[in-house]
Amino acid sequence: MSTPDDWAKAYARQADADFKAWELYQKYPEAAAAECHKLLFLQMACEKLCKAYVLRAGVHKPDDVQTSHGFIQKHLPVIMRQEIANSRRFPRNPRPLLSKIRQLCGEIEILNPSMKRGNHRPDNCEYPWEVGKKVVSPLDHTFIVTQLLMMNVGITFLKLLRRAIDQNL
Amino acid sequence: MPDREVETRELAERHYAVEGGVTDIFILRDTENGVVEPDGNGAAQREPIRLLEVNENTVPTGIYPIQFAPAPTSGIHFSSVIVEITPEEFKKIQNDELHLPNGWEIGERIPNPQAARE
Repeated sequence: MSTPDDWAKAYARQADADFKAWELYQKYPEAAAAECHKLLFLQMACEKLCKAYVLRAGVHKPDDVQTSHGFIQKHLPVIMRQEIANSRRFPRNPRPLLSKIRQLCGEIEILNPSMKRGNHRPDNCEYPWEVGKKVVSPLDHTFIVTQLLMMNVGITFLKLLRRAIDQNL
Repeated sequence: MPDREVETRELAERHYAVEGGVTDIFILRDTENGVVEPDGNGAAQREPIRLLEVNENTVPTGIYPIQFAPAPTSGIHFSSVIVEITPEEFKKIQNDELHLPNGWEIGERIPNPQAARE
């Protein structure tokens, strides 16, 4: 019979594969058809990593988490916090860093089209949406996530994310 | 042998230090699996450290524990389970409107050492 660890590891492997796709697009930007495709892989990697941590605890079953969303904004900051807290070089003032990471996690979560925050944030990395009477395509949209990832907080976030994924493989 | 109680407090204090929104951290006791107190002996050594963390910055989603592996290089030799909830969710637990997993009970509050200094 499969254990919570088996499920957690399987989800972490999927997260790893998604994040590797993101990393490859980062390394070879000419291979990415569009920024929104890159972000789709990042969003999927984050979601599956969060689900791996939830499944490892053994309280919720795979069926409970497989098709549901909303894990990134809730759990990824906790995962990042644990990485910071256990870091050998504990930052002198970690709170502002975590605060910005929390903002970034919220932005990554709404890349998923089902997370619209009550229609306040229809922007997502998969399907076009309407603003006023104008249809906007993800292909033409400038994502806040992309901007945050270019800042120091984004660079730190990506390192912590890679470390968290590796620890679960 | 690693001291479970010391590491429980150490982990909680790190979380207070990193996250400004954490107002309270409680030890969670798993009465069903026979681990009542972090006594540092026997079965308790194999059980994860369980913490309930009340965070003003998180979003309400109900009870979703997440589990971390031990981090011996940073002095945490036990796996840990964190349940993060909003202050409103904490009130619901106290009013029996929101439930922890079977057998889990809220135990001792670990104080925030920084709050005493501030």
